[in-house]
Amino acid sequence: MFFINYMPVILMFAVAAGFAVANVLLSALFGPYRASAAKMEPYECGAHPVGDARKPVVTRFYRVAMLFLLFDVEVALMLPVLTVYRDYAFKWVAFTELFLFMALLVVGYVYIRGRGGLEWD
Amino acid sequence: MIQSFLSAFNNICAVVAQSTPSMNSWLIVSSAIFSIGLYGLLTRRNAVAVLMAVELMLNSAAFNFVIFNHYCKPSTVDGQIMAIFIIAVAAAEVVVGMAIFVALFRYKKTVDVNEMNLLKG
Amino acid sequence: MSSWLQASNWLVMLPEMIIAFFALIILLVAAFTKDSEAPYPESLAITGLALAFISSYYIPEGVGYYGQVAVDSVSRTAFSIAILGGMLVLGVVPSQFGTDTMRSETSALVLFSLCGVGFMVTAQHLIMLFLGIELLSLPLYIMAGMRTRDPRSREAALKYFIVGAFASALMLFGMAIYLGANGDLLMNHFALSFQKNAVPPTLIFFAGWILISTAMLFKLGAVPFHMWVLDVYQGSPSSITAFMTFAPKIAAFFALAKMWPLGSESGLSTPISMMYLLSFLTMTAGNMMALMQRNIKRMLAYSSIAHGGYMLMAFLISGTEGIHALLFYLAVYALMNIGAFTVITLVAPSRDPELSIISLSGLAKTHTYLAVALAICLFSLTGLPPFGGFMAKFFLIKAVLASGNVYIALAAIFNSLLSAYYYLRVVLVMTTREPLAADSDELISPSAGFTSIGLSSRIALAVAIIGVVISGISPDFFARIISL
Repeated sequence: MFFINYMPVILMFAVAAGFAVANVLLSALFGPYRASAAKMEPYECGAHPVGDARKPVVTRFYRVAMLFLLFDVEVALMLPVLTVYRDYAFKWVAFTELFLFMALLVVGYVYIRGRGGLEWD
Repeated sequence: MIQSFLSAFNNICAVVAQSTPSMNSWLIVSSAIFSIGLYGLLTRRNAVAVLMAVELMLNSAAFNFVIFNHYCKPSTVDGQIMAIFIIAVAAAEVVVGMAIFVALFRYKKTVDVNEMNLLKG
Repeated sequence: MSSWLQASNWLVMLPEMIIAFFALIILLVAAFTKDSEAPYPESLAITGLALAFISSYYIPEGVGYYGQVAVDSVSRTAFSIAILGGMLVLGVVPSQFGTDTMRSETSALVLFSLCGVGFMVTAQHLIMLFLGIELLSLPLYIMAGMRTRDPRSREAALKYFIVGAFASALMLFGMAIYLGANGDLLMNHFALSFQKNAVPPTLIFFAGWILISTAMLFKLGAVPFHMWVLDVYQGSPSSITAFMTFAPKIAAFFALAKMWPLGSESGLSTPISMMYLLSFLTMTAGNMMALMQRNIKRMLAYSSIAHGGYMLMAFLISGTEGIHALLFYLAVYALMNIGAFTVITLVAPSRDPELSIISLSGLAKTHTYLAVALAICLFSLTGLPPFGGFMAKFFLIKAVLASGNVYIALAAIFNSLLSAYYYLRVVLVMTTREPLAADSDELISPSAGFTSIGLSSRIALAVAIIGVVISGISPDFFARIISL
């Protein structure tokens, strides 16, 4: 059956969706609920939902977004290592290299924190 | 009922899988993306739009890598690895570019590339 | 584990690894110290570069990293030139950036950029070339905008970024086409396709080759692709401009040397006539437009375009002689530009921010030593005999003549004569005109300016000038220093 080939992908979708739904439900059921004016806004991201949509965004948002993008996408470089990992002759070298790569990202993170890149003011 | 749905899905998957387009149609798509990017790069005045146009060009190149890899030498993964590297490096490039734009915006209050006229002989 | 060592042979990348390691250390130190109390990040960076330079003596020549990179004597020498130039530039950086801004970042970025140069000159695979060119360029985009209070610097960064991103997009598209033509991304297909008796390359191969070469020509500012050079060189901090004049050129020239048939070795006439035209256009247009510049940094930008044109002549020479002449030329050219831009860095604070040539008037009276240093660099850039620029041009033109390209050699000689006008005009302004009113309070002693500048930039300037002089007087000795 052709469809069976796609079973892992569909399972992946199911697990991902289930994880998200479960988390939302669990926090709604068991989490404390303390409303405040900022929390009740439709978009809980610091931007005012009413008014001119074309006004410029505060540049501090760009900084956080850029840093997020950087660390988010660099993880893509781990993908090729993982796809060949099982058949690779020097497994431990590849494993070490992955952690070395993580260490490079951590150096970047420490630098950002040290220079106040994530502070809001 | 689920059984019939699954079999219908299976049939669709099989049809799609058998009617794979030729390399030329893929190449036309990627060339079109590249041309749109080039057009945007040459005509847009907002620096962020120029950056988006450059991203289009980079992504069409990544697309081309995957296409050529798939059709010319499916046994290797050179092109696909290259596509992942392009994604990662393009993110770094976007971050640098946006940082430059934000720095410039703070001074000039605009990122219109036609207004960049301080440097001339 | 030992079999992995043999398979990867990662020792060939040791200099790059040392440089990257020191760059990360600088970033970590910067994270835990304030800018004002940073313990001289440049000294850390120069230590790293010195270690990398020494280690490049000892690393084995050969292919490494699963065929991704290959070290030979040419790539090693090219990288050494870049490292030495980087050390001199790092000596100038403190007097450019003062005590409190961005010095750690600048040092780390210079190191990352040099790492990219290393990748590019040793690359054997297009992935490595792509990563190298990005690692070289991204720090340069940032450094162009490093003079934070000056809007011109930010504008230069924007222009450099947009043009650079466009060039790398073109290069990537070309690489994809190359993959389609050859089935893999190894760079030896260039050499194989341009052999004497090889099957003529297909059209699709040519398309990829042209696009990748175009990106390299963008990086070195050859004439149809040179417009960014002026604005970027003018707007960037002067010490960073010194770095920009040689680092991307070294990397792009030796990446291009791996993908371009040298001289008539391919038997095809198209690459030769293209290079003929490119070289002629680049040197002539650069010199013509430099004649009418009033800003000294723009003038030097055009002059660097013209020198790029002379250096492109090396691709008309078959065999290794052209490459060796090119290495010598690049080394001398790096020293001359570092010297000239160091003087500009040092005199800029007391002059007008536009840095017009007229603002250098009377420099010989107010800052005698700096004026002498600038004059030596300008004489050398012209190609006057006792200095290195003459020997560099002499070797290159001799090799071009020996390969039978008489007309382009004549064009280069005429262009050198033409360039004497705009270089020597600066020397005239420095010596014959009276100092501007703003400088008159500095007229205490001939060495007034010299005592007020930092020790490290003094040393860097002295080393650059000594290098320019030695390469002119004893080129063999100089060649031995740079080629290890």
